[in-house]
Amino acid sequence: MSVITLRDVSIRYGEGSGSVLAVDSFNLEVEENEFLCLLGPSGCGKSTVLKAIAGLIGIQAGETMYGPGATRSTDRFVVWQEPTLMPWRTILRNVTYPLELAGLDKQTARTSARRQLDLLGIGEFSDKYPRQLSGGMRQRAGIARALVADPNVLLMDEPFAALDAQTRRLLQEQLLELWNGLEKTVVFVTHSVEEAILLGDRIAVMTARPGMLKEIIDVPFRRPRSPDIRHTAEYQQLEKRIWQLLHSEAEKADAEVEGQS
Amino acid sequence: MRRYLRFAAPVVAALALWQLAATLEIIDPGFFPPPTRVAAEIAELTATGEIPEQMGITLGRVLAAFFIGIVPGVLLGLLMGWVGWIRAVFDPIITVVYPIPRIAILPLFLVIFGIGHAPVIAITALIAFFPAALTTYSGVAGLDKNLPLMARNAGASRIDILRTIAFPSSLPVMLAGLRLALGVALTGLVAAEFVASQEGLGARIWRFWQLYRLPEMWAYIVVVALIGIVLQFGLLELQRRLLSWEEEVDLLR
Repeated sequence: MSVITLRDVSIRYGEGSGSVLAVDSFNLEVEENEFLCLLGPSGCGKSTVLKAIAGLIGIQAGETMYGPGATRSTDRFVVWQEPTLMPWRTILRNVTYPLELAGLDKQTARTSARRQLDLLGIGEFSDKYPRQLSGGMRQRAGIARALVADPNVLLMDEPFAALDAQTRRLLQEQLLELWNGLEKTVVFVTHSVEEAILLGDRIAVMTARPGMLKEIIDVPFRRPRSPDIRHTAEYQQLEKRIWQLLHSEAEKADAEVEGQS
Repeated sequence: MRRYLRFAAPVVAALALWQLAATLEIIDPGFFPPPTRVAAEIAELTATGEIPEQMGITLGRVLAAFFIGIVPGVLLGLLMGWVGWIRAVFDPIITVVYPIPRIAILPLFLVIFGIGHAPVIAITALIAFFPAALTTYSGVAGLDKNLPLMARNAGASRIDILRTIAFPSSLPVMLAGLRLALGVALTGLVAAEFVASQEGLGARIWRFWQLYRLPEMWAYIVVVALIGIVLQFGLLELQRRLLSWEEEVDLLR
C-alpha cells in the first residue's frame, strides 16, 4: 500500500466568484521510502498539494489516504520554504519544539536535538537565535527540527529555493546523504528541474494552474548520485524531456496571465 | 552607561541653553523661569510634602487606569488578533467609536460618578483603552502567519499554539501597546485633572496658572514630565529584558 494516496483531489482558494481553483483532480501515489519530487511551473499549486498532504488545508473534492506509518499528522512533517523558526527561541529550542510538544523530557529532547544539529553541521550555533544565522544555517535548523521528530514522511516545500547556488548544492548533498541512511519517504516540492533529477527517485510533473498531474517520470540514476551525472547524455535527455513538458505548461500559464491583463 | 551619557548630554545642553537665555532675559523669565529656579521650587514643594502627596494621587490614578483601561485594551487587542469572530465583532465597533474624542465623555462621567477620583480614573482608562487595543491588534495582525501552521504540523494543540506561538510572538506588540497607552493615559489624566479635580498634579498646574504663579506651575509640569519619562524608561527596560532575542532594542530610542 502507498504511504500517501491522493485521489481526484481538488482544492479551491477563496469563495464565490473570486475563488481560484488551485488544484484540480490531482492524483498521486507516494511509495514507502521513496524520494518523490513534485515539479511544476510557479503558481501551479505544488505547495498547495503539499499542505493538503500535511493535512493543513482542506480539500474540496477527492480524498487523501495514508498508509499505516503516516496516519498521524506528525508523521508527515513539513520542512518549510522559509525555515519558519521561532525568532524568540534559540536554535536548540527551535529544534526541541516538536519533542516538547510530544511530551518528551527536556534532557532527552536536548540531547537528540544536539545530535541532529551536529549531524547537520550547525551544532556550534545551538545557542544562537535564528536572526544571528545565515539563510543556509536557518534552513539546516528547519531540517534538523523535522528530522529530530523522526517522522515517516518528510514534506519539503522548496526548502532550498531561497538559498544561493552554492549553499543550495551543499544542502542538497547533505540531504541526500542523510536520507540514504534513513528509512523515510520524502515528498520534495521544487521548480528546479536539475534539483528534481538530482534528488528524486520519481518526478511528478504538474500542469500549470489548476494543478493536475501531467506525468510521472522515473529517474534512472543509481544512488549515491553525484552532481556529475549532469554531464551524461542520459541526464541531458531526461532534462530535455522534462523541460519540454514544463515548457508547454509555462506557455499556458503565461497565456493565462496575459489573457487576464 | 555610555548610552545614558549619550542620552543625557543633549538634554543637559538644552537645559543649559534655557538657563542662559532666561538669565540673560533673551526669553521672558516670567514665562520661562530658569531651570535652577524651577528646581528650587520643586525642592521646596517636595520638602513641604506637597509634591509627594499630589504625585501619589496622580500615580494612583494612572495605576487604576492601567488596570481598568490599558490591560483590558491589550487583552482585547490580542484576542482580536488571534480569534476571527472576536475581530469580526469588535473591529466595526472600535472603528465607529474611535473617532469620538474620548475627553468629550468627561462631562457624562462627572454626571455619573460625581466629583472625585472616579470620573477622572474612568476617563483616563477610556482614553488609554483604545491605543492599547489598536496598537496590540495591528501588531498581532502583522505577525508571521506560518508559525501557527508550523506548530500545528509539529503536533501543537490550540492551547499549545496560544502558549508557545501566539503569546510569545505577541509580546513585543503588547509591550509597544502598553508603552503608547501609558503615555496617552498620562496626557489624558492631566487634562482631566485640570477641569474635573481639585487634587493631583494636573489640578495643581491648573491652579498655579490661575494664580499666575508660574514657577510653581513649572515645578508641577516638570514633575509630570519626570513621571512620564520614568514610566517610558521602565517599560523600555522591561522590553529589553523580555525581548533579548530581538534585534538589540535601543533602550533610549
